[in-house]
Amino acid sequence: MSTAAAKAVATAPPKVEVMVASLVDVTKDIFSTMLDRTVEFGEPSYTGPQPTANVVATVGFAGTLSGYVSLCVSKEAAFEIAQALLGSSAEEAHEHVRDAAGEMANMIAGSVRTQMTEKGETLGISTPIVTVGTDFSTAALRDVSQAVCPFKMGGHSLFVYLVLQGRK
Amino acid sequence: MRVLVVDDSSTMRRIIVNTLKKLGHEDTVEAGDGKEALRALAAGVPDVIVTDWNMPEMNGPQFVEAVRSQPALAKTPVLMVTTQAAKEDVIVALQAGVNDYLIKPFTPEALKEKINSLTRKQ
Repeated sequence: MSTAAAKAVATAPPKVEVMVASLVDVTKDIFSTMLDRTVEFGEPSYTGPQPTANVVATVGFAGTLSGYVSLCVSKEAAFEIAQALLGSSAEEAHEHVRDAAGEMANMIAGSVRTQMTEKGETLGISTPIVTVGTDFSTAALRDVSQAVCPFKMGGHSLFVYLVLQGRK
Repeated sequence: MRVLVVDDSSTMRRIIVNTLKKLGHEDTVEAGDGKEALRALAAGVPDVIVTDWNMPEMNGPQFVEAVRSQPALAKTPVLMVTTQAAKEDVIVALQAGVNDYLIKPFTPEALKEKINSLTRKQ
């Protein structure tokens, strides 16, 4: 490695911070574009665990970076997201609460993938998995970097949780 | 105007169909994958096809290639709506025969513009 390249590596921000910046950017854009909702971003935390939530929509990614992104929301927030996303009646929104959260996570992961591709990474993303419940928790393996990105959507708190394999 | 909406996510199909209805396009047909879409196309040619990329059975570009291989569908406008936004992905889609590309997330106005542009060119 040349001296210039070594200096660039030494001064480059950790990958997890780069991905958090991208996550914040795309999450705001997706909520604004698809739901016509403004989400306010708080302060990221670089420690786990995954925030407690009733609806957790997860999309994995693999390539030059590996890990997953989860959208964690309450039942009430998930319903509001479904109704805004579908632009439909409460009855129709109820049928799509789970899948709407999955679609939002899919768009977040897909948009981050695009931004990270522009930064030289090569990533593929998985199909979304949505977990719904009232009393569950998840845990990442030890050798990971984590970030919890908190947002406010009106009166609802929601979180985007990032897990990146390795200490990056 | 009839629009065929192809997406394996019933929620995304609903989002697109609801948006199209708000834009005045009430006549829509839905398919959950490429094979189901080809069966729907055998029953009637729509004015526009809106398709996703990531689907089971055959992906979006494979579905569009199958569409373009049929002379009756050679000129049917195809809009791909997807999160696959890399330049290489767009090239693959265009080579498969897609006429236009809309990246998720999208606004109703963006969908309207793309549909109107495709139908004007017909």
